[in-house]
Amino acid sequence: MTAETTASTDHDRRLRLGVVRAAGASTDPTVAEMEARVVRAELERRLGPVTLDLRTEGPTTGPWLPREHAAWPSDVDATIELGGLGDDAGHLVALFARTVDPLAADVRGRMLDHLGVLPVDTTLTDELLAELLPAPARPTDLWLVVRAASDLATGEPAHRMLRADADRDGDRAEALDRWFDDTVAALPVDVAPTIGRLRAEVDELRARLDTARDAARRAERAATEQIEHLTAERDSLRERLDRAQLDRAELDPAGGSRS
Amino acid sequence: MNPGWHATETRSAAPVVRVPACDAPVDVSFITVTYGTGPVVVDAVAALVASMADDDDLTYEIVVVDNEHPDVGRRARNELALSTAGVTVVFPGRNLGFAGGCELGALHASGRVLAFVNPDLVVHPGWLRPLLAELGRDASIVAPVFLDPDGSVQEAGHVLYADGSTAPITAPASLGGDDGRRPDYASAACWLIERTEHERLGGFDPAFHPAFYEDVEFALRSGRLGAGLRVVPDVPVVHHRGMGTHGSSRTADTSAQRDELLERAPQISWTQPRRPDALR
Repeated sequence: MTAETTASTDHDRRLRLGVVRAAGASTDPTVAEMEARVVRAELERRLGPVTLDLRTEGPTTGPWLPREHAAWPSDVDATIELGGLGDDAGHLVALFARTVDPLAADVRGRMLDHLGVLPVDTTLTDELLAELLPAPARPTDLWLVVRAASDLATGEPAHRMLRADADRDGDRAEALDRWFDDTVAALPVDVAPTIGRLRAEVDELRARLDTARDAARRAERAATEQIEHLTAERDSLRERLDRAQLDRAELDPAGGSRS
Repeated sequence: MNPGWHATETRSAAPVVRVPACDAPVDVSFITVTYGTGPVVVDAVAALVASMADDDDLTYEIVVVDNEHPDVGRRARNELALSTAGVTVVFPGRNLGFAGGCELGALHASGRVLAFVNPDLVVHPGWLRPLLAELGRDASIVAPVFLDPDGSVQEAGHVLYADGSTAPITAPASLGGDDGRRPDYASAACWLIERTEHERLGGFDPAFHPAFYEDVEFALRSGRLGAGLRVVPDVPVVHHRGMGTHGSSRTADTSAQRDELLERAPQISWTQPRRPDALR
């Protein structure tokens, strides 16, 4: 990792970070978008919301602009070189699962099944992938399809990384996490305001949770009271009904029609 | 493996409607789902193209998914093939339902924004920009106000009740404040959502196949995982309800879909208001 300060931080604004993609990274725009999402997710997990300026060594690839032709904005606080990850730079997509909401992934998986995209019960080739995801593939769709394929024969090396769940591969996840931890710790920016903001958010969420919990308790109490009230009312009605039936039986012991 | 669908681009020799070719990245993908729909789909496409005439700086594409209808087959595809050029028509070979049709269209779309537009909808010039502007302002999904052909308000969003039933909001006054612009949901007969946001939220749920309540669930999910849905009051579009499918769907039994919603989102039974006319 290399990081350099290019501007002093204003404590009231988001951190603005420049990120340079590793040389030789995938030229697939969908994979490039996945890597951008992973980088954002991992940095924001540690720093809270950040503004990112993404640059790459080659031509524009997905959201990454050419480093040669796109200068850093003047207010970039620091830059991060993903090349510092070494061989693990290409493994970033293995953390993609962390960027997907489980509920959204469940819905999307069932929809791809409904559309006939899933299951992929044959070897996934580039031709088949282009047929299944005809427009430029969305990262989540690519992730679901590649993971579902019974076998993989596409030309994109990152697809193999997508099949590896880094959270299950403890060593790789740990290595990537450690790299992001070290990178963030070494950033020559003052992260104290960010930490303060995150703490304030935690406090606010805690307060909201307490309020919601109180409301739920009150609602539960009210519901219990209502159930008790309705139960008592039902018992009373049942008693009246029983009494009425008894009275009727006494008046008409034969129980038959009067007519 | 073959998912069973195929897409073609209409190339009528003397088109009534021509969608301009575009090499630049697409800003908006209009996605229309048909089911035995007749000539009205050409009217809808024509209205869309006409509405974009003054928006030179916006690039767009039109994708029509023609769900297989047991009685009339590929009717919309045939209508479009005769009268238009430049429309992408996807034929799934079966009925994927409304949600499935929307998602198949989205799978073939490349625009930054997805605009789901019913074939029984008529839009007018100037309708799109206020909706696009609203997308950037704290809303995952935006919808216009739907008018009946006589000009009366058909819906400006809907209220969702605790029993899963719904009622359209028809009083424009309720749109005055910010809350009024955030109804529980709005009909997906016309929705705009950014493609990345659509992906992040998961898109339409197929559990409501073939139709109804998929928009209710998606709108609720958009509020849970995103910035929710917003109605833009100064954008009216005319909705000829029931004209978009072969045979009217206005009286369809939606109880199964409502039960599905209650099962998937049980919290609505205590977070939503009781229906005013519900028996006590």
